[in-house]
Amino acid sequence: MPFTDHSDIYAAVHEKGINTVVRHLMRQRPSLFNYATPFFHQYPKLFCNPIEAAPTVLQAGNPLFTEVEPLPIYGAPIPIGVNFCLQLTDAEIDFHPGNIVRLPAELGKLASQHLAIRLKACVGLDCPPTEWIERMLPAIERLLVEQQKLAIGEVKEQTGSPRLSTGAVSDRGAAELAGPEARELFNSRSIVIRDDLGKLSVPARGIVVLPTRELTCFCLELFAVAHFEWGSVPGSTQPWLKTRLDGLEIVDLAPTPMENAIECYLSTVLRLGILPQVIVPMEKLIFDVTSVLEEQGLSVSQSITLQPAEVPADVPDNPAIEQDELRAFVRLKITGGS
Amino acid sequence: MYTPNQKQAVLNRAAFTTRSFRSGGLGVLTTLFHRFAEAGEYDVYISEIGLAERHVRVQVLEAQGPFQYNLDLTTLGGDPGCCEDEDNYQLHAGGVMGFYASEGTSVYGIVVKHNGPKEKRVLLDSQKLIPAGDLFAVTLVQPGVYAVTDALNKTEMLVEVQMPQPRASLPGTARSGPRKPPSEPGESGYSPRQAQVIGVRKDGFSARRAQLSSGQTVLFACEVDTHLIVDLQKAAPSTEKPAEKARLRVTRTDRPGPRKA
Amino acid sequence: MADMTLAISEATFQKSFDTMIKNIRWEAQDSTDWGAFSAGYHVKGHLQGGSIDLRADNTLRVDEVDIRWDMLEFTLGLDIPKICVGGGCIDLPWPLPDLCLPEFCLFKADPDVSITVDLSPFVAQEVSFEGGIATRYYDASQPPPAGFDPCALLRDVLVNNSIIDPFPANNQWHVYIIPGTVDIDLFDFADIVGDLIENALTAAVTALIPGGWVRDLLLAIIGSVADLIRWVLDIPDEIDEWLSDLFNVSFGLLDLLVQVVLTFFGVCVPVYRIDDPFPVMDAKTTTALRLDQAPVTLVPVALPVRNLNVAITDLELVLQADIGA
Repeated sequence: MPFTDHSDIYAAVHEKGINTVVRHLMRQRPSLFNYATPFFHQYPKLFCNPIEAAPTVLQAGNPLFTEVEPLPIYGAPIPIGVNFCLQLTDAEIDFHPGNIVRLPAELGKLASQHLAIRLKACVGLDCPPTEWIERMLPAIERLLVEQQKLAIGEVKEQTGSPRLSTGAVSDRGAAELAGPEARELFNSRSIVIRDDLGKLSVPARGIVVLPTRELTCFCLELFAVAHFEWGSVPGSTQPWLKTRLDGLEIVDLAPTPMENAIECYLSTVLRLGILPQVIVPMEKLIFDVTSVLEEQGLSVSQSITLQPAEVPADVPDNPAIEQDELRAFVRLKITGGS
Repeated sequence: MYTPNQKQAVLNRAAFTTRSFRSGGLGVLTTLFHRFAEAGEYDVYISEIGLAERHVRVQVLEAQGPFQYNLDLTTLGGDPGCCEDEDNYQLHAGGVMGFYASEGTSVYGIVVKHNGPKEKRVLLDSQKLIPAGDLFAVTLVQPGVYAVTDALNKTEMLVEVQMPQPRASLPGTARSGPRKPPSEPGESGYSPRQAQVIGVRKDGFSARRAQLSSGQTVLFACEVDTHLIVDLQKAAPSTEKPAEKARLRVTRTDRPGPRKA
Repeated sequence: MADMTLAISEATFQKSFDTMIKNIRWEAQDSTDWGAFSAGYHVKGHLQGGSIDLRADNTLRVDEVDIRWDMLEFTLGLDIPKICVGGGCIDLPWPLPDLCLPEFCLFKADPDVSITVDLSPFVAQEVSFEGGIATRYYDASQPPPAGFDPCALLRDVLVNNSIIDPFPANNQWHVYIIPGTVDIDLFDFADIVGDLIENALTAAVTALIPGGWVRDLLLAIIGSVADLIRWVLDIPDEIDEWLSDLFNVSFGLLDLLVQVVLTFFGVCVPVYRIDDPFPVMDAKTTTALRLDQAPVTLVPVALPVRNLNVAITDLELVLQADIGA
């Protein structure tokens, strides 16, 4: 049977091709797949997985990851955070009948017109060494006392040093805060502690990021099943192509209720947060051939547009997911002229 | 639909407008043939009447050379000056040299001298006479009646020149095969390459009247010394119809018609 | 199985073809001197219409594309032969040798006449061809071959009309229709064309000749002007048949048209072009990648295209390719 039996133009992408595209995307837009604190600009070797980038990305100086705020330490008297990174690796797509991604039992068998996604997410989290905590602890305790933020309530004893506030420094107080080994220079947006000057100042927005020597990395495997459908959007008269999530499973997370909770959270993020952003209206799928030709100086007396073939009048599914391919069926609409 | 891109055609106007021809002044449409009977060296002087003289040398050989050479007097070079190389020609003894002008209004005189071992003899001085044995040809173009006069012997004759019949267009069935070039006889039999020979004698011409078609030649074979003059006496009437004069007819409508008798 | 498949129905492919066809144009001029006459042409034309039929044996046939002449100027120059009076040779009695009389020609120099006619309203031709389809890889880093540029004949006209671009700066896959057998109608001029030329020449020649008895004499010598023309051109009956042979054979215009078709489709203008690498995401400037919201311009995302293959069935054209690693 010819490809164009029910349409004027037929386009298909094999899952092998899609996965190759994803690999190219990972190398040419690594910032879509890697999220980390700014610390990693200076210490890229601390990533859980080295980031492979295309030469064009490196030559252009494009960032290899998207910057995110450090993970906050709750309860600290000043904003303190730890470095971390989140990397999405090993993304794979499998079209029905499903022979690349082995779905976990929870998601069942891949149904007709559905696609499976396997994603590996690796997280690297900084765990500050004990000596750093012990070095910081006196300053933390001191600040809590100064700020009268102890759980026990107000303390009448004065520590003998002026109340610290942002921008105010007591030389004597600072000399007590830092020892001779505590020479750290942080990111300019965070606190600066210098043992020679003893200055302790907190910038208006900044977070004190604890220095990182190594990360603790772990990876989780995530599986998802999805399909495409045409639907409406309230207030719009045209049909929209939507991606619908049918199921999501994180492998080997324990205890099971925690796994379920996280899966639910992620599904909700996808269903309400991310997937609605990628719905596509019909007008974006109509390619105006006439305009393109006229831009190239070729006059055509007719109006020629390419539009998706109609479902179910022309084809049962459009796009269709079958035989390991994503297939699109397009009609050529010609009006006017001769 | 079409655009003509032709260059201006330059007519040999003298060929159409000359009506009088003289053996004493060779112009266009006339040819003087001198016979070089004996071998030897000859000097030929060509004078364009009123202008400088040209000189050519003719070497007549006993047993070799062409029997005829026609010299176009208009092709002779510029002012020869002194002592330049002259043109040299060779002829077979008994051969003929023809002198003619292909175009222009100039007239020429020819003097032929034989360089003998002891003396130079003038054999021909065309401005004075044509010696017996030479020939004078006139190609007559304009239709009409020409009077031919032998001024030396006081004799006359008439030559009637008629316009030939138009060369018939080849009929449709005869359109195959090689084309006939112009100047070859067409179906009507006319060709300008036909000539008549008239003898010039002491007591008159060999014919009192000759008939030619326009463009043909009459060749006078001079049996005596002669001086020939050919003049158009009566041109043939033009075949072109005069253009009708434009007329304007005005009719008055207010006058009563003629009374009936 | 190929990573990507694109199939285009025969009717859709016809649309691509229609757009290409109507933008094929050419211009040429030349002249040749045959001694007694000279002939030349200045032509401009374009293609129009036609249908395309895809066939199961991986070939296609393009049928009945009209050849439209925007200008088909024909220039004919005649060297009018000498028209002379006098001449001929006469037998004379001994001792006089046979005498040949000189000729006196009625024009000082051989006159020439020349006419130019536009034959475009009288010519209708069609061209058809069969061929296959092929892919070629254009490597932008390689300089074009030195010397002969097969598109030179067409390039100026086509570039001026924005039909073809200069060689691209990036690599591309090109899909070409490769004509094999080209069938082209011969030039076949109608009788009216012969009459047109004959009338034009006759008028031009007649204008050379003075009136009155001089014209009568000249016509008596040369016969009709028509016969003179035929004699100069050395042609049989019909000027239109002679003219057809001139265009079909001597001028080589049929060869020109065949070359136009062959080089336009097979060499100069691909029916499809695919950039390699193929861009899938454009360059983009965003402030979302840095916490300080400094703008960052991301490079475009492009995919290497490998193993492009094109096949024809009787219903569709199928392009398949792989995405390179």
